[in-house]
Amino acid sequence: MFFAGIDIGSTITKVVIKNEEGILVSTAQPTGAEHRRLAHEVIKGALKKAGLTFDQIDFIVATGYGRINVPFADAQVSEITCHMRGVSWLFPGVSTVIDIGGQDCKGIKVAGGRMRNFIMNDKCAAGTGRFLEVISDTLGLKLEDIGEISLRSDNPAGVSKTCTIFAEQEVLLRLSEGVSVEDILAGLHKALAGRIHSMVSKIKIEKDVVITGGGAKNAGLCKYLEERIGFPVLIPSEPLITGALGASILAQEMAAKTSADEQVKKERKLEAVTFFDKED
Amino acid sequence: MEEKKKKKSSAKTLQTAREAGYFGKKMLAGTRQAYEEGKPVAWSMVDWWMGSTITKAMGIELCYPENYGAFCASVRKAEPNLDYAESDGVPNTICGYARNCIGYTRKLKENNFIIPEDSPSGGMPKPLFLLACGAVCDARYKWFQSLGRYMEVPVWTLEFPQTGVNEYFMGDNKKDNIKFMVQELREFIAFLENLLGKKMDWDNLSGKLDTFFKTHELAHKVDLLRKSVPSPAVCTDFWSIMIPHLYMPEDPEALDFYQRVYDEVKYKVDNKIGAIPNEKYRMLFGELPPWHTLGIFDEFAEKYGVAFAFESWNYHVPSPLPDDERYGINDPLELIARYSYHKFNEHAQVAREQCMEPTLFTAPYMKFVKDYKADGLFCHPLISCRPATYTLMHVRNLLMEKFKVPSVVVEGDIVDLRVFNEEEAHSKMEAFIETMDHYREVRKKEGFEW
Repeated sequence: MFFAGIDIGSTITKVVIKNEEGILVSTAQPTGAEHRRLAHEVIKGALKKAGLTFDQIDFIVATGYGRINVPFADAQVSEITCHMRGVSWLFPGVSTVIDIGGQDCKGIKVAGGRMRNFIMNDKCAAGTGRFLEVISDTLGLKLEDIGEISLRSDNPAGVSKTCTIFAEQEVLLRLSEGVSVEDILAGLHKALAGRIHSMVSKIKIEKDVVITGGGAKNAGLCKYLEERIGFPVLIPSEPLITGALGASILAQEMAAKTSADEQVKKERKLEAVTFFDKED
Repeated sequence: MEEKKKKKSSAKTLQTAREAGYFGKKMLAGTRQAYEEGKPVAWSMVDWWMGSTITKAMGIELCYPENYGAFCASVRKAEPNLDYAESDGVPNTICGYARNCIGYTRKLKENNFIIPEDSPSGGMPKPLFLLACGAVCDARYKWFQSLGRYMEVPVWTLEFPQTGVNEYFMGDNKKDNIKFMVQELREFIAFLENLLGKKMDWDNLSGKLDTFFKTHELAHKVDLLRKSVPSPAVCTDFWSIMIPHLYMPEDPEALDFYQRVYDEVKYKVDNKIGAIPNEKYRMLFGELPPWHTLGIFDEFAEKYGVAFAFESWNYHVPSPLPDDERYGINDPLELIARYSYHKFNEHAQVAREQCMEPTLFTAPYMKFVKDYKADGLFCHPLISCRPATYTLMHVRNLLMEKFKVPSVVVEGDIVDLRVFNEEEAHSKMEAFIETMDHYREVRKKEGFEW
């Protein structure tokens, strides 16, 4: 049997297809404005990579910010639950998950593979990937490079602002004062790590700590976060896909509970997908 | 692809709750009619001092800007008022009720005090004076002061003694406070008599107080009935039925209405009929509701079987005044003072037992959580409201520490839809279900009753 998890995040859309043995394929691509079309495209791409057809998938769970825009999904589950399940599958001893996404940041407390508590930033972009995106734009650098560049600093600049807008202004001020880009980035990453740490501390950070999401791909951020936490953290080899992985695990569990009308469901799913083919 | 249209207002589960909107309309229509007839009209805060009952006993029709703010938000017509207040320099961190009202008042003034035609529910007419109150909230002082300046009308503020838990148990504290409050009320009546050029009709006041206490007693009985499992009524019912007891409890229609509410809820309790058909979780809500999106609670009920069994301490009536405090008191002002003091201090004993401060907004939840067998607390902190927010974080920690009851935090505003993220609320709630499951097991292991 085959199961799929699709995680439409604010920045990246991820898909994981698995069977009872483990992960078959995973894909990730930028989330655009048209979630429904993207959901269709990304699942088609993943199916092609796995050498499967749509009707071979037994159950699909959608998660993430755009989960309601996956018309062919059999169920929708919150990203908090999916991240927790995905990380627990990869690291059974996990106690604290810190997920740093494009628009939000979550701390999840786990015990025995089940959620015990969680905390999530509210409406502010500070403490999220969006903060780093704005800063990298301001500095004319690639988002994926700024973490490594920050590690070259041995004198992080003092950055007092964690508000994205104010921090952008402070970066310009520091540049005009002649502070190096490395030191500015180190200061910013340090400030961001401080903000994330203080938010997640509300649910008590305990070993093992796993960092996921786009933020986990930023070596500078992980370094400063680890410093604040005070002990080593774990990072999955593919930190972007844990939500989609959790969704695919839940798809497998839900499929086991699903009986009867399966054929009817498959027809419905196909109809929802081919809707876009007709438009193309 | 056809989208399922989301309903923003709540369908409510009680028939009486569906009918309660009548009272809000009655209040506003009553003040407009009085204004047209040249009779005195005033605007009042929710005062919990019965200053409004005294005002009505003097023949003044009242409307309530806080209620008007909630109404504007519920029909999603508050934003133009908020924008207009902000364009006049009012910060967006000021109370949503205040901003809505200041925006409305500015429009009213600029329209030569003719109510603008597009005012939700017909609008509020220009008042003769403003009745403010120092209880609960600090922002309200400045709000009504600014209204007074916009409209050039007098503002009377009923000061309220803010008694701490330890102070409550000190020797003459209560006696001194009651004495202070009675004196405040006498001065208020003198102000009204001077303003209207007529004397207080004490018999009229006593008659109104009698109806007031009867209405409150029924409202309290309804609160007690709500302890039943399954919950016979939920938060969205309460936020409707509270209009008569909070704003016009001295109105005989309100008393009749509450008798019907009581009968309906009692019937449901006796027949074990739950407000929602699939009650799986019982939650508390703290403190002030997102008036613009009450339909979200219907969705939580449908999706997860969550019944919001109790909510919003500040809007509930207190328990009836104990007999030894009531009987033998012949001065209606002393009766009012005693009842108001009781409202804000009746949970002082709970606060002392739990070694905590303050009583306001906090200690009552230590009782509610047990009485209503709550699995979780939905915290709705407001950027624009300090008193109902800092206490909420305190309640959150205490419920976990003392009762192993978790909470979920969804930021928002009472009126300002612009700062409420509905999707975020759904995501958090979905994940929170699992958290409640876990703590149910924890409570069971630790020997809690629920």
